[in-house]
Amino acid sequence: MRRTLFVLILAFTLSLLGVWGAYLTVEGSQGFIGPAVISGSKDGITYVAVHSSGWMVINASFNGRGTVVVLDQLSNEALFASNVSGHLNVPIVLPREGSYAIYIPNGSLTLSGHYNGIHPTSRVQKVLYASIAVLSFALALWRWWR
Amino acid sequence: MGRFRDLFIWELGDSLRLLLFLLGVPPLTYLLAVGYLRAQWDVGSVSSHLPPVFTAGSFLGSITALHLFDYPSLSTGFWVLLSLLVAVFSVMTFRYDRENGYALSVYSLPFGKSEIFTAKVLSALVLSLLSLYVPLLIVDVFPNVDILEGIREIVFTERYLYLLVFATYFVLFSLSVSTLFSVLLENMFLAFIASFFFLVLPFFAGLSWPPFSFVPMLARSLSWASPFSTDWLTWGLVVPALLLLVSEVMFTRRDVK
Repeated sequence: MRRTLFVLILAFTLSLLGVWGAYLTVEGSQGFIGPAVISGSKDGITYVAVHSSGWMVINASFNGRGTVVVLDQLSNEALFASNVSGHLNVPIVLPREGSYAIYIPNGSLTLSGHYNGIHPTSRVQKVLYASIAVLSFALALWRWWR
Repeated sequence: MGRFRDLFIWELGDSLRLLLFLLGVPPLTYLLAVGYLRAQWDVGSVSSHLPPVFTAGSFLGSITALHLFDYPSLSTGFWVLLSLLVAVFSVMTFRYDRENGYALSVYSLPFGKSEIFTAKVLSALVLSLLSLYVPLLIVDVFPNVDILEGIREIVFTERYLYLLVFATYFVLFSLSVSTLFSVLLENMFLAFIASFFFLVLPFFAGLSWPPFSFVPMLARSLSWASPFSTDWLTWGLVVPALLLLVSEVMFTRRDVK
């Protein structure tokens, strides 16, 4: 039973290394947001909801007129607001994992975005590295004591 | 009962299977994490002048919840590797001891044949389920440390339980089919190839047969697709139980070879 438990914890630790490896893989993987039309009037809004799995930069380009706002839907804070008259090309930073909404209170815009990889936030890095370190240390101690 | 527990723990502690578990689970986690680490977007409409804000109690409506339900069914490499790993576990459990001779010493011990079968199936089931749940747990929790409160709320719901039940059906079906083949065929290689043909090849051919017909249902459990409807219950629970029963009968009626 002890051996099974040891292997189980070791597999868990190595799996955390696998998550780390996955972050290294997706560092340069690209993706697209949109193209989509977002609009807003007094009757309601059409917005783009984005899930980010970590820290990432969207290279967004907007065409149209109005004030575009990026809202963090989990903490309810506006991360970015800018006036667009005609065309705007701007990098938007999504600081952590979660849900974001890109919307325009009044007017109409087309949005197309491109991102160049997803990165772990510093808290994710700390938790990941600390868990790997603690678990490996515990396993080493266990092995040494037996 | 104490004797059965000893046998079960002995089967579970088999070094070769534990080594395969150790080699199998980190790649599974890696594949699932690569599937998770993407952005997902969607167009939504509301009749107010602000997009919805998700506070405690409403996280299931967010795009993060949608992504959490979607990513397991989109990382197909994970499911292919998982079904192969489950097949390897059951083939190793039922054939390795016979081909290397130590099955005869186990059979000379005072255990009933169905007792031995139950211990073997249980140990393979424990390893298979662990290699499903450990990657899911790790990929749900570790990349989402900043929003753990929301993740906890999404994961502890009935709909996420449905997702887990569909995923469990996948493992049960793969395990029962490969167990049947490893009891039926008298060669480790043949048993593995037969399970591979039966489990994975229909998926490569684009057919939606079990166990891979369970995979798209994982995403649909967000919209209340129930795994307890007759159809899914049949393929996920009744058919595996029947196959295991047939394997049990064949296992107990046959010579050790």
